Amino acid sequence: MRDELFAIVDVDSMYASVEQVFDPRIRGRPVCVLSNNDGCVVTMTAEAKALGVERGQPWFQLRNHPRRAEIVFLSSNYGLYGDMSARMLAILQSVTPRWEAYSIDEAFLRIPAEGATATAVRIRERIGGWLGLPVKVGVAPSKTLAKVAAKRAKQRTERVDNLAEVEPRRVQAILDEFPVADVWGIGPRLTARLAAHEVGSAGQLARLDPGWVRRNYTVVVERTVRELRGISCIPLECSPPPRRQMVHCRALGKPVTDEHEVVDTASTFAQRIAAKLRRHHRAAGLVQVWLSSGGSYYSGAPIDVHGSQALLEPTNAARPLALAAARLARRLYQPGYQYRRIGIILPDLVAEHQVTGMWTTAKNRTIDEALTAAIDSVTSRYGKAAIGLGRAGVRTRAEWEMKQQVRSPAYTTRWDELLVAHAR
Amino acid sequence: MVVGVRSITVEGPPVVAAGFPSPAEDHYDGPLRLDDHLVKNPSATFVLRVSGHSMTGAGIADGDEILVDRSLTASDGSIVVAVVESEFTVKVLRTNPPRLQAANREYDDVPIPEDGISIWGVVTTVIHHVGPGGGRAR
Ligand SMILES: [Mg+2]
Repeated sequence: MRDELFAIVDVDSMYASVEQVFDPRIRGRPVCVLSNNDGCVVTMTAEAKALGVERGQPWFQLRNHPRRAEIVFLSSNYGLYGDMSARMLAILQSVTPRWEAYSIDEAFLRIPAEGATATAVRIRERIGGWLGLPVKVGVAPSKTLAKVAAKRAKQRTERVDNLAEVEPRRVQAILDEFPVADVWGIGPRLTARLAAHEVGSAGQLARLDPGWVRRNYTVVVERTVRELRGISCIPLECSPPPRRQMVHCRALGKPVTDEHEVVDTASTFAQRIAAKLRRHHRAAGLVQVWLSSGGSYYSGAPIDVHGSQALLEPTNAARPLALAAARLARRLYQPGYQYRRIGIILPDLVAEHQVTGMWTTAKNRTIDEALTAAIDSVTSRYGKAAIGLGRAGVRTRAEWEMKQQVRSPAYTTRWDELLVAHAR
Repeated sequence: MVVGVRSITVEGPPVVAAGFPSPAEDHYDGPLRLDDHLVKNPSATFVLRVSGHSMTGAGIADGDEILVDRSLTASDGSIVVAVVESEFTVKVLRTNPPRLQAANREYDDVPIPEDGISIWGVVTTVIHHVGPGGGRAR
């Protein structure tokens, strides 16, 4: 059945592009958006890439970049990016109700094969015109091939590529030139394993026997093989599956060496993630804490430890999660290291209503519920840093808190930060 | 002036306490919604704050909020937000000759160069707060 195709719509360097929509002064310039606490580069424009800036590069390294003065560095403004992302999805909804939000700047669509290229062009023009965001659109019979098409669209002036319009022999040639590492779902580990089987291109992967791939790899890779052959195996997921896992991981503004500070940070992060759990009506039965010195870019002795603890029963209350995280952090902490990354991972979530409450005493449950309600009502009014358990509520202690030194205004979500139009 | 009325919000039709539906229920379309009234295309509409006095003749004052629809095509006479010298500027678009015009005699026109000008969006609505202190409920 070739009467319908997949399209993927992908915004070019989303965060930087959004910033440029609202600030004409930085258009056409090298722009880098830094992660949450100004830790490292998460998005950059082609102009910044041309200056040798890499994704993931930490800010402290770029401070000494010879052409630093030309580069615009911005803190991330997730509220703004989220708003533009929601607008993009609303625009896609006006084209077809059959779309799937894949990430903040990517969405898959199901579109009729007839006139698919024209539809893709219309989508690109609409998002470009209405939001000012540059997008590329890849169209193909499967999601995996649509991703290949999107990569090709990037090189083309019209920013649209429809592989269904390309004759099969030519598609083969395209896939033969396409590195297997760039195929959707093929990570570095699989790439290395495939290299051992002398598979280096998407074309070679597509020619493998699916049965052999299933036996030697996984059904997931087998699916990729079929997808590359133009047989759709990964359907559109119109409603996102409920969250099964939640992560709150941050690069700290400056390295932390003190035990109390490590423990406090873990406790604070656990409280943040607990609030997020409550918003999603999920509960966690297992808490993991991760402490790290931050990867190869940094000097100092490397450390990368994690531990987990099961809770008596799943919960989304701040107190038990914070206690578990603090206990784990204390156990994992070793003196003499510089900690730059701390993460809380809740790997196994259940729906809030599935929690029976049979392992919690009535007294503790009452305390947790009252405490949680109090925290939620304060944070909803005064912001999430206004109150917390332990030292989480004390502002001055939290040196790792988001620095956001150069964050753009919340143009689309706050009346007191609107974009200014001059009348002069 | 009515004194002592604390709230006049009506969220739905009156329902009789005993549970009998009010006859008004069948005729109730919900309260008026300013969003629906003012914003034709929410995904393409942005709110900007005006700074300056060059548009007072068009009813746009310093400090006003303007609704800007990026899906509309500007034509002669449209009030637009344009990018002039890397700054967002609100002006009236004039096509013959191509220029951006203020709505205040004290301000000069901005000629549009050969290679054009970037129009960010078309202004559809002005929100002008009145009363003491600008009447602004923020
Ligand atoms: Mg992208």
